[in-house]
Amino acid sequence: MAGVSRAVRILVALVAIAIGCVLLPGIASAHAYLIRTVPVASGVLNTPPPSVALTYDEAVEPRFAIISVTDASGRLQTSGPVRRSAANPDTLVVPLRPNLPEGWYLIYWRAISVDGHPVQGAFTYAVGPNPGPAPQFPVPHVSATATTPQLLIARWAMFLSVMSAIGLFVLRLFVARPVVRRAPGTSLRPVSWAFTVAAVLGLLTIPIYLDVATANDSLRSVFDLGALVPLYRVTAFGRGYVDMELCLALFCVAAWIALWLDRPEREQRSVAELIATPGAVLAAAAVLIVPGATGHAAQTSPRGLSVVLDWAHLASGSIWIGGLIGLLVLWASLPTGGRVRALSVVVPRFSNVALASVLVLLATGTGATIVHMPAVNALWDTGYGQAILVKIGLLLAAMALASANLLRTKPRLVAAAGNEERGKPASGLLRRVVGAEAILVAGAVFTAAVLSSLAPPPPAFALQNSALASVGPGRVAETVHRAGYQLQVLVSPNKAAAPDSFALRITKAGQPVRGANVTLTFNHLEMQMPQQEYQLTETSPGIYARAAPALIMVGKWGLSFQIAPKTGPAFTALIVDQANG
Amino acid sequence: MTEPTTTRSQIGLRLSAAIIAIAAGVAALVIAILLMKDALV
Repeated sequence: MAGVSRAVRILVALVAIAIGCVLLPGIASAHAYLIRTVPVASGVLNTPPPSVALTYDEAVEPRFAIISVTDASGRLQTSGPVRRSAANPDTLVVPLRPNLPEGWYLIYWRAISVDGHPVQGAFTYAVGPNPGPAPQFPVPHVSATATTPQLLIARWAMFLSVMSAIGLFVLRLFVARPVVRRAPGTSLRPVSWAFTVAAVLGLLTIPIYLDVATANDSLRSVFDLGALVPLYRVTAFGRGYVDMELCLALFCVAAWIALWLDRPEREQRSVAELIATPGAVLAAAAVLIVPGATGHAAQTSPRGLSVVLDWAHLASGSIWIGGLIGLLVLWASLPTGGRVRALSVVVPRFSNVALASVLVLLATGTGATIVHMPAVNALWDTGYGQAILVKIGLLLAAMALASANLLRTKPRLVAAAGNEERGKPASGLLRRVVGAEAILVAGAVFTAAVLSSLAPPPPAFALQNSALASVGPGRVAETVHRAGYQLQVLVSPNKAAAPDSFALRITKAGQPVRGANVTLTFNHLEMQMPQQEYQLTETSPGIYARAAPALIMVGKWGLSFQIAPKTGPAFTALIVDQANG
Repeated sequence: MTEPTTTRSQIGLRLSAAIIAIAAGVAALVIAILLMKDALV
């Protein structure tokens, strides 16, 4: 046993080294974003364009992309499917009907990022020379995600079955093994069967989840397998889950061999067992790398640390949930006459493992929250943060039950020393507490599935904590004070996907401040997208203005005015603006 | 009660199975590391 635990430690170290080899610092963008459009946003063209071209910061897949071009009455004006530009793989092109009449057009786009998350946006352009006033187009809100209950349930079922399979394997092969020798007549076969059921469910749910996600992203039916299967490996997300299925299949092979070779009635493991068991442990470790490598963790700086935290979090969660399910299976399968004796062997061992797992779960969860949350208030101000709070609540409740087991049930079972009558109340309590704990942890896994479906708040979210005022929706005329200056911010009409005018009136001691250098930068606070910067010009004494198509999406924007007066130090004033469609 | 004797062919079978298991584990780890390099590089 000592040899095995040493081997496991060495393997864990090797996995950590392998992960360390690919640790890469650097800034990562969470999602694909639009960097150039033809025609330009809010531009007026003298002749109708033959096509619309959108260039992203990464090569998005045209088969998952939507680019719709509609006129003021909502009629579609595209004349063909979206395709990739031959000149630039990062550019998507959609042809338009010939000779579009004068007027305003709305371009709405939706693309799938490499991490499998949809991103979307909208902007307008006009065909002139006399397009008339810009109409009010309905603009989709940034929070509208492509997550469906179907997708969430598929993801939850996948996580739960895969994690349970790995946890059941650990319980069977490492934690519960001595019970066969110490409590004669006990069989671990039901736990092995539970592992088999969970593993088979995992093998089934991964392709189901991949199918539902691909159908969702490509806006097809989940049953349209002829069209969906070729798309499975098109995105990095899809390739990741195909690889996860492969890794899980290899884990199943290795684990079934390890279980077949295992002879729990012998204290010492055979050479064959000592070779096979690390194989299964390696494969289990590999399976748990995939969700982090294809999800938020690999897209959040520092990426290497995020992936390691995600892996350790999943591993400890797997050992906990699988162990709880295994304990319930073992409890139900044990003969009434030998139950207390068997439990008095398994429960103390599992309690120690579960305690270590919970500590790792807490540490890695806290680390991941710090990495993902740009500010503390993002925990309650964003959907992503709220899901983290729900998950923490469920895990704390499960930990309270776990401590009840550790402090009450475990000592009573040990004190009963195999006396069935003395140990019966503790055994009954154990079943109820472990059952409730398993339900709570399964709930936490569901919130993890929700978290994986939401986009974490971008780093720009933290900006709003230093804002002088929150304004909008609608026309803005807000006065704030900064560095001894009075600043009046004017935004009109303050609508997304419309040409807005931005102005800043600067006064000091009632006098207009002339000749200042004023730059205005725009950051979307709810979604990762490139920062825009415009120079404002002094249109009348102390008034600096610019018309710009900057509010390209509905949502909260950080408007940061960098002001350099002719005399005196430069300063910055930040306003949070809510722009609606 | 004496434990059943393991024959040479059984030992060979068990060792072969064990080698398949460790090979499966290494293969899975290689797949995961390649995927991670692809995701992070």
